[in-house]
Amino acid sequence: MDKVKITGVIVIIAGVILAGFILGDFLPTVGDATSSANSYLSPYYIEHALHDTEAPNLVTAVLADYRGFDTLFETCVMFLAGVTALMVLLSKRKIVKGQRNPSDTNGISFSGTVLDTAFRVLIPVILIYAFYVLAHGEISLGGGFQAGALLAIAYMIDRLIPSFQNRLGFFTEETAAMTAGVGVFIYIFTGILPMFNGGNFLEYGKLPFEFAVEAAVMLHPVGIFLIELGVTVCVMATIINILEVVLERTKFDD
Amino acid sequence: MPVIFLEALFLILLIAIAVTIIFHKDLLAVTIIYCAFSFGAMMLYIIVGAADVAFTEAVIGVVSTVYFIIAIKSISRRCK
Repeated sequence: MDKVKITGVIVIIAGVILAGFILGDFLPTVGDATSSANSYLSPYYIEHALHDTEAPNLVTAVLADYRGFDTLFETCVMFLAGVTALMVLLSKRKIVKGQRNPSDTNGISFSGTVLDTAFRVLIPVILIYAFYVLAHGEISLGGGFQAGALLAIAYMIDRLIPSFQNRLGFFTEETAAMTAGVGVFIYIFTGILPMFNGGNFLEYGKLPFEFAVEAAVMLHPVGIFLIELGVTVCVMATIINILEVVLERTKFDD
Repeated sequence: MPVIFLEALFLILLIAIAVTIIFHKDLLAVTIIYCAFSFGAMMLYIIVGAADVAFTEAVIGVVSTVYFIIAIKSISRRCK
């Protein structure tokens, strides 16, 4: 019995166990108000989030405001993932500056009438949707991560369809990693700004923009937008970074 | 139709897709089927009410599929 068959058997057994859990009623129902996960912290968020943060989307309120510190280190993890991909996958390359054509995809490209037309139709929609998701992160679905991934998808399509290259500009691996660092810096700087105004780290109510709003609680959407901008830049640059690294490394067999 | 049947349908679909991914021979086909796995997971997240997670799953499904296809085009082995 080879490894693949063993893996398949393990997956099937795990699926049967999961089905047994669901059918045997061992797990609480989704949305059960009396389950232990929903009885302590969730009611507080549901009752106070709109009053505390002025963000109608509860998920963004929890992610970016109540747990802004968690999101900060998730952004750092994204940045570290990009840097690690850069270090591991490019470890055997001789770095010669100015030798490489930045539009070179090492033969990995996709062309054709259908793809070109789809590119022409899709890219503006994707870009507009990305900025909509970023700006409406605290009101409707989405947020920094999704907006950054959408921007990176637009860049990917531009990079891989050769007849439209050079439209959005080029990142190299190094500039992409540096841009990801800029995203993390925007996040941390947004956290530090309230400290000049007598607040704590990431305390959006003390951001120094009181002249622009009528109440201190209205500063929370501003802070959420700023940190989502940082997350967007970091995620976009990290995805582009890994894409460029994978395009650069042609021989994975060694 | 009760939602639990739809949920069970997508769970069975996910199990079937996972088994197919393990036992299929063609790497490119496996990558596309993995994209279908991402779609099924996205529908499941929508059913349980986590629309933000579903949105993330849809976007990341596209990104990871592109990564896998680039990696497959870079190696010499297509089928095992």
